[in-house]
Amino acid sequence: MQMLQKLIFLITLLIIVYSNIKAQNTQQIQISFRPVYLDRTLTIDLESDIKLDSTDVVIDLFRCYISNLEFVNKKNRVFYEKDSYHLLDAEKLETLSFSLEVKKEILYDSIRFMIGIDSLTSISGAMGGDLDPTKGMFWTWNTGYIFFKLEGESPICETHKNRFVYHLGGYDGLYAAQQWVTLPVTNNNDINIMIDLDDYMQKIDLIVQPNLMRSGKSAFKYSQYASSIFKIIK
Amino acid sequence: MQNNFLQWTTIIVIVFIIMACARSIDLNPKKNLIFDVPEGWPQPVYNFSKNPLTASKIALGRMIFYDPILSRDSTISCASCHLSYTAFTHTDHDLSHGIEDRIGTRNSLTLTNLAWSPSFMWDGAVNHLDMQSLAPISHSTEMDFDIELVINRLNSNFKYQTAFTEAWGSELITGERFLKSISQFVLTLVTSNSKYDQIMRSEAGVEFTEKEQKGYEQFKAKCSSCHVEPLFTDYSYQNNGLAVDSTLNDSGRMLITKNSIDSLKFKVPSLRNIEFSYPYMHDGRFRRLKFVMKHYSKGIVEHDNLAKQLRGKINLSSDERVELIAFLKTLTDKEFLFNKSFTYPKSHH
Repeated sequence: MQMLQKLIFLITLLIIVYSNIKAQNTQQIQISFRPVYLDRTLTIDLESDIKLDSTDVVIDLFRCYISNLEFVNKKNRVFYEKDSYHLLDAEKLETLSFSLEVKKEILYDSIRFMIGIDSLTSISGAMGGDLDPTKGMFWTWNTGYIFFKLEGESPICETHKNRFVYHLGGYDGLYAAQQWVTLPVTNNNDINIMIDLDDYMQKIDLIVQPNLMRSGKSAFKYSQYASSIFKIIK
Repeated sequence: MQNNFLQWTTIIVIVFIIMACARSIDLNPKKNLIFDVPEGWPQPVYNFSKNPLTASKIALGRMIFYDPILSRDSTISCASCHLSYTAFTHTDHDLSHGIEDRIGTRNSLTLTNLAWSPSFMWDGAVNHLDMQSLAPISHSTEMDFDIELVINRLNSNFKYQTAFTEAWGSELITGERFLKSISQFVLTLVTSNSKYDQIMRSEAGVEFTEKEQKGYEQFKAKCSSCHVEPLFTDYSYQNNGLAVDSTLNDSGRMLITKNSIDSLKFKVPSLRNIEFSYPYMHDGRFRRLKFVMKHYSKGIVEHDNLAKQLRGKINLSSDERVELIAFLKTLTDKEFLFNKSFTYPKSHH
């Protein structure tokens, strides 16, 4: 018993010393995403019942997977996040930012990440955390994650309840919809990224295609639109 | 340098502790079980290292499998369409049915030897065993429910809080734990002790009858290129010349790949326990094996992408059909069909 107590003490000591040394050599980098719509931070309002004017377009759901995040310097990868899977949800503020522990001496000129989930993870069975299939981001009838989900309402949509629904995904094949995004950054402890939903809404056509819920050619095209709306806030 | 030294010291100390604990791990009733691969079989494709089998997780999976709590109105369970006595499929129903007598568009598949299956469903819509049960849970003509709501239900159920704690070490019920538990149970549904298997293992006193032996020769000559031994499938998708059922218009694998080359292709099913898993084909159109024989010898429709093995007739005389059926019945594994550890878990109710 005494032996065990000594051991536990020793280990605790080692862990404290080790983490202190580690903390001295690393820095916390905060990555924050801000979905912007109508030139303001998107807020999801599910409580109030607003009467929409004929041209109003309301977004009431936005979720998106960011994965395989890395820092790049002169086109070389200098850091990558392990198990890098983040589900951003405009309804849950806490999901929109997270921090990375990066060695202090690392220099980088850009941040790179995937919108979506890589095909290896997509075929690897049940996962936990942000990848848990209970997060409403999983297609059950044809295995695969939904990478980008945007829904809302507008009188201009001639659909059931005037809804528009975009569920973009497709992990492999000709129309694999994952998109890589590279954004220039300076060595800074805070990286703020805007998700310019105004830009997305301008690129799509709510009248011609108000619904898109399966993988394929259209999902691929819309995913490319989605990848162009991530922008650094300076 | 100093950093490195500390890291190594920590690792060495931890290894020492693990070694000291090794003896007590051995006695742990929740220890990882080894999945037995039958002699002469290929290695399974399921990655057990990501979901190591334990007795308590298998028991939890079995409890879930038999519980109608998964369906919206709590009326049907997995076992409603996958019955143990019929190799975990639903006999006497050509198409599967769900809550409120809603009828689906396909015949339920057998659940056997799933550790070897690289994909699931008649069209390969599901790419991993863990994800398979999500489909029937959400499908409107099956359980018509939602995984998130299933997890909520389980989280407020004392029986499951206890069972998840027992199996996973805490009462946290997540989609991942839920799905992996179901996988654990269905992975144990291994059928490898039919008369055929006993003969292949040269067990004393077991032999094919003359009729079965002739049937086996027919099988090897005319069926085994797709129904590859010992699993009796190659897991490919083939167009086997069935006339299109215009009430269903099911284009099969093409629904998934969106490629016309896959039109009317369906998974080659295993033939194990085929005697008990009627009706046959993806839409259950043949009620008896004799109709299947008739299809392959006389009924093939020459679709553009018909499986090449079926081009040109498979000639089977009426004697040969009888012999082939006699052989197919040697794939029946009674020990599997009546295995008590696969049936309704009485202890939990």
